[in-house]
Amino acid sequence: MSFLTALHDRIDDSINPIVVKELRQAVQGKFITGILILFLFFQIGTLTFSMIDKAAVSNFDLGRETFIFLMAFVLVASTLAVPVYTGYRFAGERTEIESDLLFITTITPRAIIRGKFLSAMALAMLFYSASMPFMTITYFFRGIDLFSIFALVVFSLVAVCLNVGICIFIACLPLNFALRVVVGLMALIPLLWVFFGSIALTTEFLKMGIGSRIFSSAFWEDFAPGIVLIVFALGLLYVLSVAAISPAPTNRALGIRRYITIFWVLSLGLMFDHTIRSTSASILEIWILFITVLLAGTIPAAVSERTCCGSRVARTIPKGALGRRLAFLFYSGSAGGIAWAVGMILLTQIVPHILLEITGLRALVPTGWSLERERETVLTLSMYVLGYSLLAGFIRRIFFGDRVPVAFTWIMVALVAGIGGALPPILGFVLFGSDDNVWLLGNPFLTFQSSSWRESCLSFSAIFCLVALLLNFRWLKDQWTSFIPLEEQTVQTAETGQAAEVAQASQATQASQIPQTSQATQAAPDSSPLPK
Amino acid sequence: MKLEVLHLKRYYGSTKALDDVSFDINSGEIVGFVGPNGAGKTTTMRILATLDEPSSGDALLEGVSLLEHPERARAVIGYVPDSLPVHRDITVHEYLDFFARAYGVRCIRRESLIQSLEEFTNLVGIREKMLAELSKGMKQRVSLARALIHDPQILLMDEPAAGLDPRARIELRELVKVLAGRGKGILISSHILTELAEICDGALIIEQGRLLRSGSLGEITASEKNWRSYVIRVLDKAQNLSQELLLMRNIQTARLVGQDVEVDIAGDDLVCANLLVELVGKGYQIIEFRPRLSNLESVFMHVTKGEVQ
Repeated sequence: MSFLTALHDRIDDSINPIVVKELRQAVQGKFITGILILFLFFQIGTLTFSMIDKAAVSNFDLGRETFIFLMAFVLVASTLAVPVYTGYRFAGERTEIESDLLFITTITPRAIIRGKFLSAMALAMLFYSASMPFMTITYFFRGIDLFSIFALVVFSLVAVCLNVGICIFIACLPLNFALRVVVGLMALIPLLWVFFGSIALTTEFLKMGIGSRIFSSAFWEDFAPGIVLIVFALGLLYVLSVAAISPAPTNRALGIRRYITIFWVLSLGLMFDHTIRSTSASILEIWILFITVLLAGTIPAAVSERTCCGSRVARTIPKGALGRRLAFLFYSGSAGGIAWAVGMILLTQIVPHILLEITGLRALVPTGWSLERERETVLTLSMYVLGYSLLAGFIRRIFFGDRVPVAFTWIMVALVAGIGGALPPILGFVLFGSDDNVWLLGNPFLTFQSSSWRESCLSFSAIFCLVALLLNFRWLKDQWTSFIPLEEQTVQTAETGQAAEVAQASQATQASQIPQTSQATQAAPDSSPLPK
Repeated sequence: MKLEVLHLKRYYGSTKALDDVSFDINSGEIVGFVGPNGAGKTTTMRILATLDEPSSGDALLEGVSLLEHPERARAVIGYVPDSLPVHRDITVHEYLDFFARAYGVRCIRRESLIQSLEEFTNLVGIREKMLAELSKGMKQRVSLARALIHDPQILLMDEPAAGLDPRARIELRELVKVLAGRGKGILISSHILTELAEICDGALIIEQGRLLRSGSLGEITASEKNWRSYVIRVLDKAQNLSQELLLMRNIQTARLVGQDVEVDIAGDDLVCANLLVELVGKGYQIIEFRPRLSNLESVFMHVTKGEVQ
């Protein structure tokens, strides 16, 4: 008995507190109970209808058809109802104070997100377990085998994971109520896309006879890129959610940048392996396009980050030169984030070429990449994103200062890009009477127009980037120079303080020589660096 | 246990939320933290609760920096925020159980710990009630029980009495006294200065991020010995009194409020006593001559300007 008690205690201690709380709340809430009752009603109804249908006797696909219906109900409950419920609940708890209360406990942001995810999955499993007996019965209706049933159930769980991840991420976003509603409604698009995609895949898999094909390597090879992408998306949603709920003084960007970098390395390896085995570089080309777009998307987020790290983060900056350089790229910070994204985009463009040369597979792309046009387009767009992000950051600092918080710079990026595309042609026409094409080059979407436009846009965006970098050079450099370990900062502050004291003493001496002046009574200027 | 706050500064852009704030709290001490809205009270408390970090300065717990070791601070600091728990579909007991788990309290002692806290904060009768159904006073007690779940040595209470009815306020006050009696250092912010004056050993007055006064209540009121605010009620001629007072020595301001005259006197108790004698001598029929504000209120009104950044 004491052993059992000890075991129970041990298990109880190891359970994520969020899971316990969420499940208790779900049990006591009306929503899940209501959905479950409705769900069982539909499941029983579908099965009863299938059994009493007289045409069923001659229908050899009855099992398959009934299964699709039952699966649709499970997916409605698990990929829509449960994720939306989880996200709604989490968003409600995401008031500043509730999050604060969690952060002063020993629970970590990672554990919070994991707990939310696991509890949502536990609720989804409740619907699956309620449906499994009904789904299994469809085997006796003919047209479907048991192996297909179980395989499809497992595959459909991937869709559940994705939608739960999406909803948790949206709930984590620090938005006000109105924006949260807008974003929540927009999130219905991917949620419904995943839901209908799952139904379509289930039907398709049943048609192709998944039960018999699941053990063939060809099946997995075909789906490998898709699986990699889904795993990446799930991981990315996780690290983004953790970053979104982490307190401001923490190193939020580190997890995201580290994750994308690791994915970059692993996925490049996998894609290269696929290229070697399939003797086709097309998958590698698609990888280059995807990664470039992904990294370009991080640039507006980077300019919206803080420009100096707090003492808690500064404490963890490595003292060695190499460690400090690497930390600068990966730690939260605007300049580091931009440098990391640009560096990774360059590596994405260069490394596959080098690998093809080294491995002697250059012959796979004898006349250049088949997706060269798309690659140029994506690269041009990335340069536009970089240029507009840097320009928006510059405008915010110079003209708006504190009135526009750094965290909202990404909105300014969108505005500046919109103005940059629309205003020059109007100004050109009004001021100079010119309708020359050159006025249109601020519009990044012209890259898609034609090859001549693409070339013009490529040249323009390169020059634009260079100008934007020059404008921001001092700002970027300042961030690098201030990125030093806390101990060194303390030494510098002490030195600055000593200098200030000397200056003050000198002022006081001067004041004592001229008693009428009030200089001596003036406080020394505050030497502490203000956050930019 | 001693919490030392050293030269805390906190900037939000160019706004100085905290400007060189220093003070300390010892075990068993109740320190009132008073200031107008936006003065920097919550910012200070959030920094001490490790939820925010200062632009410069530090806070030391027994010599250990909160900035460098926030996890150590969390183990000994309890924080009662200025808002109440909003979790739905969860009972009081489950809520406390959740935080006990979140603080890593082992299963073997979790239940007894929660039970004792429920008894201490008088939650036993409502332990199975849903959190959402509770009144503000009850929620505040739940919030206090939650903050005590890891037996902190320092308790930070941000406006715990806000919105509570008189009974709940008195109960809360008694709980705070008991906690201080058990050796916990308590920093409590409130706008109800009379209540703070009753339970606090010391006070901190803050405005626009600057600490204007700090020390024991005696020290603070002593520092304001040269200024008093009184209410004078006369049978008649109140209008005349207010006008005449303005012409008298040591009178800073005098205004007619209903039948009363409120007067600010530059001077100590002796000056006030002399004023009373003088007014009686002038034939005013005085039926009431009393300090307008408690000592702490008086000091607060005198040293703060009611300005926000």
